[in-house]
Amino acid sequence: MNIGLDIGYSAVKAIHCGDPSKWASFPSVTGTSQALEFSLDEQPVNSILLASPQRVLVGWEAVIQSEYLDRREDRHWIQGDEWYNLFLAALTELTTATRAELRIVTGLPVAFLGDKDLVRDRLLGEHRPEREGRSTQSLQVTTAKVIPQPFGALLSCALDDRGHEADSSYFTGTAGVVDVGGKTTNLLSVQGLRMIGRETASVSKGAWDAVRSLRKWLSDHCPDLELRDHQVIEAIIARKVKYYGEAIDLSRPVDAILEPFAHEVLAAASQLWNGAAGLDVILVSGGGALLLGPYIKARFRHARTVSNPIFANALGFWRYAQYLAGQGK
Amino acid sequence: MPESSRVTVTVSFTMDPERYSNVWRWLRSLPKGKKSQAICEALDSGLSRGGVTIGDVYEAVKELERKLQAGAGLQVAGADDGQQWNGPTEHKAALDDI
Repeated sequence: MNIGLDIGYSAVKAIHCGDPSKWASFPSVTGTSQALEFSLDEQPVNSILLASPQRVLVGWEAVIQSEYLDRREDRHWIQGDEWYNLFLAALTELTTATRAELRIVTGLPVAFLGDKDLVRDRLLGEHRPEREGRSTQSLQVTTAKVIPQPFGALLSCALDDRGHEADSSYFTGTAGVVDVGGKTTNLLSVQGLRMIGRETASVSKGAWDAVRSLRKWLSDHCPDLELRDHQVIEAIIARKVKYYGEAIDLSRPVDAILEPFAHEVLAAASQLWNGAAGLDVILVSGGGALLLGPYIKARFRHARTVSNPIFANALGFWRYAQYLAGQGK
Repeated sequence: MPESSRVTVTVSFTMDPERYSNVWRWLRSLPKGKKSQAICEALDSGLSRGGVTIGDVYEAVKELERKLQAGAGLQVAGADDGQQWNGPTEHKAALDDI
């Protein structure tokens, strides 16, 4: 089984086939798994409860139910239990096989690429997750490749589901990628799919910065409202929030938060890419593309948000895994 | 138990004589007055044998298939082998360098 895996600070996305209904995505949150006192369902359909190696709730169910949450935003989280539990949860979302061999392609922010051996070593080998109500699975990762995160979006456009060439222009032309993640925004420049190092960088700003800013606004204007981070993200995207049953319009505070964020990213991109006029296309991807896409397109007329920006990196990783499979790698 | 005090029931059933042509031939060959006893003995023999018929095996396989499709039980997923590269060699080199 070939897998594209994108474990971001905001959400985990995992793909093993071309059917979007089978793709997995959940917030990058793990939490305690105290038993529910009352529920109409025995276990909600979308709940991810790992029983082993650690008993934790993962994803939305953790956001809603867990008394204590783990959500890290530091570079070293790839070495922690939370990251590993997110990884296991993603695999159990993709397959119920009790035994499987996996080929995984994943990504790291450009600035953290030095950690790729750490990630690869954590992925390789046998993993034995157990989901509540299921048998223990023996999942053997035989190949693990770690590439710069924004390459995912690029490869999602360059390759098709078989790992074949889908658009030759990406192999011959120039392209920029603005990948807006939870903690970092990656800027990638390529010529013929080869990364141009001096035009590639990470900006230490992401969707979580917008969350923090809006949380501050909410604490002033809706002091009795207690939202968790992922619920704040939902409020930013919807540009409204319910407060004592009344819909509060967040358009003004959201614009006030996003504009300086967008300007910082655009300034970095303009500087790195020398105005970006020499690029054939600029792709905007990542969960934050929904927030910053309009600003980027207003500044760069050849910018476009990739289809399904949230899954674009994972999709590109999976298509690259398909390519590697064809090469016997 | 005296012969006269036995309670009997009449069971009728339908069958496709082409599909079960051997059964149909056997039924027609039974002598009058002995058919019920012969059928009962044949059924009793088949049931008490507890044997596994090819039909039982087929049903078991179909049930396993249904369970696998529903995501339960034992499943083994092998590595996908993928397909050979379809584009120019220099484009393949770019992919290999990522």
